Amino acid sequence: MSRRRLVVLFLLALLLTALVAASLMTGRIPLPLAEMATDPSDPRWAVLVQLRLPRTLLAVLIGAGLGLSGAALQGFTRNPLADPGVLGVSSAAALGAVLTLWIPAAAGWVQPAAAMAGALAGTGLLLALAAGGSSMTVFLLAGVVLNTIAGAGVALALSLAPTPWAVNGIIDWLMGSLVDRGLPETLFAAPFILAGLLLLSSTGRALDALTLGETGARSLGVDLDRTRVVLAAGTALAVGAGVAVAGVIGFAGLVTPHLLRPLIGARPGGLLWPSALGGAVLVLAGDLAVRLIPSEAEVRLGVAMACLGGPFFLGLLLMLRRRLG
Amino acid sequence: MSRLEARGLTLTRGSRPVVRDIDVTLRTGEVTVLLGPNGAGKSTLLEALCGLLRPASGQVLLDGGDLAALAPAARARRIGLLPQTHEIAWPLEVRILVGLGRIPHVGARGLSSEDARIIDAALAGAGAADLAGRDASTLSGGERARVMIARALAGEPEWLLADEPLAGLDPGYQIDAATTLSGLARESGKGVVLTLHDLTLAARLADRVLVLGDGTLVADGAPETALAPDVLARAFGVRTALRRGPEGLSVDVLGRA
Repeated sequence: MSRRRLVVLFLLALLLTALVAASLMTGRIPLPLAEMATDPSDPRWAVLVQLRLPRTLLAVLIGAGLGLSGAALQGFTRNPLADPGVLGVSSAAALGAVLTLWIPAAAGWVQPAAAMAGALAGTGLLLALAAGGSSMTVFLLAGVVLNTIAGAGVALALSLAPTPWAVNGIIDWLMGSLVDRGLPETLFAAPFILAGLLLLSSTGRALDALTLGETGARSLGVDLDRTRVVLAAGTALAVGAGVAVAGVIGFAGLVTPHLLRPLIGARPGGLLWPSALGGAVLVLAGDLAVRLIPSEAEVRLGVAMACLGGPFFLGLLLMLRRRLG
Repeated sequence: MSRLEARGLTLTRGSRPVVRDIDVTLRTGEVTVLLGPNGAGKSTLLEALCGLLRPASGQVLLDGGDLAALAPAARARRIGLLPQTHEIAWPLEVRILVGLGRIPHVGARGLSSEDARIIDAALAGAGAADLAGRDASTLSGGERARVMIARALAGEPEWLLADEPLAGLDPGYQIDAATTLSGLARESGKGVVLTLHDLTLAARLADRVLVLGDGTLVADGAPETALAPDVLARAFGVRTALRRGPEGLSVDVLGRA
């Protein structure tokens, strides 16, 4: 591991720690810790432990999942525009979740499980399409297609929804937000996201080898089919669980590896953990920002990320125009 | 000494048969040059010989054992491939790129100082030591070819199968790379299999020449016999003259047959 990478990892960890502290202290209710410390029964402790802490942890986990899956997808497809949001994996997860509207009195785990199944189906489809050395254009178009199909499915499901009041809730959730996510949601999502992170991080060497193309990677002993399965499962877990709990939050996966490459180099395996930390920093900073923006209703995190990510994506496209053409 | 054999090997791309029923045994310590016209199946045969292409029928044997039964990582430690297309997806530093060749040996651990020494030697062997610090995306075609040779050397395979390794190199670097590759076979006792298009280069570099024409072996032998005018006329449809000068063999292409 290069020294530069260690320094960047350390700085990211430091930044994340600072943001976690800020996130715990930021919100409508001020938390004077010195005053609270004298009284363990102060009701404001509940705000800290049951509201701020889960929301903060969730932002970190979801951000890490997005950053790591973005870096891994970019590495696997050798495509700097790959990202779970851009390629429709998040939409596929949302479609899975929305379809559970029709299951009357579904158990609590059904919707998240459906979201992960949707993400798995979406990633599987994409990676199957990317097999056999299809071009970057074909792959991006496949993402557009997946996004369109999943978006159409969600719209159809909403317009045919059994109960109108359910629709409002779903639209609200689709926009992506961490408001009022409590300990149960966090504890539910955490193991899945962590498992996804571990799976994705195990693909580092294979992603490095893929720098030399599919034939080059296979000649180095990389089992591409296995890598594809691990990547699909890891992305489905990390992104699907996040979507299930917090809705669609985009662009952290796209942006993070791009911000890190100039700092630590472009080796795909070397970008994985830094991208997890970077994604966590980005999503937590975004969530902190929507809490600080003085507005009547809180701006949805997913919307805020899209507002920041959209122009970034455009800039990236302009930079890559020659290569894609 | 190690043997790499094709037995009744038939290979297809899609449904198109490319190579039909080939039997050949290759040995370490020799430079084997594979010649043939465009589309004759040279690259396909190389891919199959390093276990990346499942034969439609027949098999590839490494020291008598079926290559397909070998785990990918174990196979990669013994047989290295230098593909014809030099894909480099990311702007990596050349030294890191060449280090990718160590992947079959290092697994998930990082590169040791021993790996670093091997990478340096590979860079030097390919005449690419001066490129070590460069960004690979800024390399010219010939520089890229040298770096990719270094990448293949870094794996220290027992067998090195290289598809057009000398294409795009200027004459000086061509000689350097050819010397490195032949030294690998004759001094270090490795197996070296190359595809080439330059007939004179083939004549001087090869211990053994295989000529592939229309999916079958048209000739297999020492350069003097396998590069004879009648063989080349049959395989390439050209008139040639095989000359022996003080510097060794040369093949002059005189025109269409």
